[in-house]
Amino acid sequence: MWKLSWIKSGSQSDPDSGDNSEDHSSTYRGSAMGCAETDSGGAPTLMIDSAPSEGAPMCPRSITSAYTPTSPLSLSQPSSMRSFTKLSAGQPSSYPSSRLPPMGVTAPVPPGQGSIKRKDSFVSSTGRLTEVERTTPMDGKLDFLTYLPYEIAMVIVIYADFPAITTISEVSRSWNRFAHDNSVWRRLFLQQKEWRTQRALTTAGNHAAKHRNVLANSNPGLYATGSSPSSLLSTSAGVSGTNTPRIGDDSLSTATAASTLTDRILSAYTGSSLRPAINLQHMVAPSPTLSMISGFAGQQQRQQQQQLQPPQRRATADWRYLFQQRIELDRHWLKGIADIQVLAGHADSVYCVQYDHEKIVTGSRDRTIKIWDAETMQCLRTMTGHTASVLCLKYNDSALVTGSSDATVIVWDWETGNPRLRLSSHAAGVLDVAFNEDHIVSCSKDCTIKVWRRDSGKLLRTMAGHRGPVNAVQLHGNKIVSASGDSLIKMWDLKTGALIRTFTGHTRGLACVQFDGKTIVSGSSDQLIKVWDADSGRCKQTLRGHKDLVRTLHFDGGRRAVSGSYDQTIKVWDIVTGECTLDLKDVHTSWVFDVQFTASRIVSTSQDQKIVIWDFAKGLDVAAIN
Amino acid sequence: MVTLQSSDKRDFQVSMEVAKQSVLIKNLIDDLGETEEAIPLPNVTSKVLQKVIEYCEHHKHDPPVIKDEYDDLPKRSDDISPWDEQYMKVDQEMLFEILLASNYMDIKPLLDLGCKTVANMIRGKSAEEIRKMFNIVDDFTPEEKEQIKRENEWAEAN
Repeated sequence: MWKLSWIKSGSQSDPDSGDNSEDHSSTYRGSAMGCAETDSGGAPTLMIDSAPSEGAPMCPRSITSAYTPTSPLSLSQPSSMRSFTKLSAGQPSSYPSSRLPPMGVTAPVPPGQGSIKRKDSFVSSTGRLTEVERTTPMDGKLDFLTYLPYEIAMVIVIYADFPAITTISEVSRSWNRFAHDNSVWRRLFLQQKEWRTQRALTTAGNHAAKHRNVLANSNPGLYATGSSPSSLLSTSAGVSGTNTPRIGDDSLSTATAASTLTDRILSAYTGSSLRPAINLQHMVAPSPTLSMISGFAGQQQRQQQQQLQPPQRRATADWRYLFQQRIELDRHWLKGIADIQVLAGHADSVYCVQYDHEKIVTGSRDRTIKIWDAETMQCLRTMTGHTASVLCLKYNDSALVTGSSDATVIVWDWETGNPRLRLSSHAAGVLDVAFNEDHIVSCSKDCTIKVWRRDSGKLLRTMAGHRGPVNAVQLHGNKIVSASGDSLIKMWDLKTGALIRTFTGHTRGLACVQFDGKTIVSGSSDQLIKVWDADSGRCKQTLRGHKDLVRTLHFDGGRRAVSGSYDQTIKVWDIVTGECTLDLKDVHTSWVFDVQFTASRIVSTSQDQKIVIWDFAKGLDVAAIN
Repeated sequence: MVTLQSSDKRDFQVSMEVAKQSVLIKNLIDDLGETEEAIPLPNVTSKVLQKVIEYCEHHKHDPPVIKDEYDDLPKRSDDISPWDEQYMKVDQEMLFEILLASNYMDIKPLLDLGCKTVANMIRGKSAEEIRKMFNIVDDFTPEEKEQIKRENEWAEAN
């Protein structure tokens, strides 16, 4: 029953707290500061004075005397502010009648002492409004973001999203503080849907970077080529790397102010060649992929250079800065601001490519597979095994699977670099492959799709149904999606081999298809790209622009898709609007065969024997958010 | 039935499922058991409480919100249902009061709806339009204006 009586006592205190405008105002600010303080130390810029000057209406707009207009807005933090923050942190029980509990937190009632403290902890909304009325003309308008508790106002700002945050900062001093609250920018960053999608890609880079360090430690001879000052650094990198969960130790030492885990992760990103993912949960055991790769020295050297000349370091995560860099990266994609690098080495057409932060893997008409260092761009290894052109490849941490015009599929052993399984049953060239934990799916010029056991290589079933060569295949969950020269896309059940659905609409043969479980994107000899709803079979969008066969596509579930065509161009699309946002031409001098993109790069291959890397992160600091 | 009492001492009889949409009241009832006594809500006037109850009545069959998931969701404000949109057609003062009341009574979906509504009022408008709408005085010095303009250049280039 004590709770009930507490509430009643609160109601008695009503008139009192309603009139105490000074109390409100200090509370108000305390709440704002407390928020910014707990969230990784972003210092709000404009300091709003809490103590109202004599006789002034209660209005948190006056600026402290400590504030000087000439000093940079984002840096000034009057000492009075700090002491206030300290005070409020040290005396949680007097948690100002801000009183209204933070969002989603039911006001905790300290047992035993609740009744008295709580008395002050609620401001009568009537009292509050009375105040507002005093400072507001009677036209029914209210400055929401100034008079609401900070936590609620912040949620409004987060809902308003980017770019409204920019306008919000220009409204008034009181509104401006939101644009300097690190936690606001953090939330804004994390809620950008496309960015989230892209960030999943960083996990691969993470494994790779960590693993590189492990290798460096276990094979000291490999980096013995380093010059004297850097060899010391590389050793320390190697040692720290053996301890997998530690990220960017070297930069940690400078990041003295970093306290929370997120801070530490992000503080690491500028000073280290490691690419920390924001979500630690994605970090699993390192992959063995690099152990097969020789020629490690160049990579090490580059890593050392990075450590010797670290980019600008930041002690804590500056989410506004990260947001800015990410926006700038998008701008580079729109304007086509990219560094172009060309890898030459294959002796004939390069048919297929897949890459991650660490390596680029390519397959060629010269019958070989090459592995390139994604940073130094050196060819690390050439693998042979197929007796004709390597037409397609897919890899992950555990396997590399290739298909060839020799009608076989090879499953390679990452450890040794030798073929582990050879799957022979197709009657003609294997045009595309896909795999998951248990199965490998291949499609062929012989018009069939075959499903194999990944561990034993046993052929499980053959799906016939297409009337033309099956040029591309995708696997997601238990669904296979195939695209054929017969101008049809078909969806199949992996487990039974049953045909689920046929997608009709293209008027000529299909060359490529992508499927993320919900959306299918297809490219055809009719020069069109079509976007389909996988469940209904409806064509949602048609992308027009290529002037020849659309040979290759990459799409990973976001709005962006990248295509390559026999018209020698690579185009970037917004699949929602159907707009071509970027046209990359005059680099490849023949048919484009394959293309893949990540947040900051496109890698394309062509009949002109070139592998081209388009790097949109030129001049940007996007390692942590890439 | 549960009786809720507004700050101006008016009693409102509501069903348990309506009352329990307020986590404040739900916790109270869970802790103390059902009570004959009116539960006082000293921070909410009868005018506002009536409006809040209207919302809870309409949403009484909504599945409960799982808090952790909810907080992590990206904030979208373009998914307001027609009923909610109509419900939120109130003057600014009432909107303000609904926000405070839903925060105090811990009715997260209503608080969120209020936040979305204000966000939608802000989005797409110029700073001057916002000042006009909420009757805000532009209190920046010319130097500050210049500084903010510089700070925002990167965002406006897009």
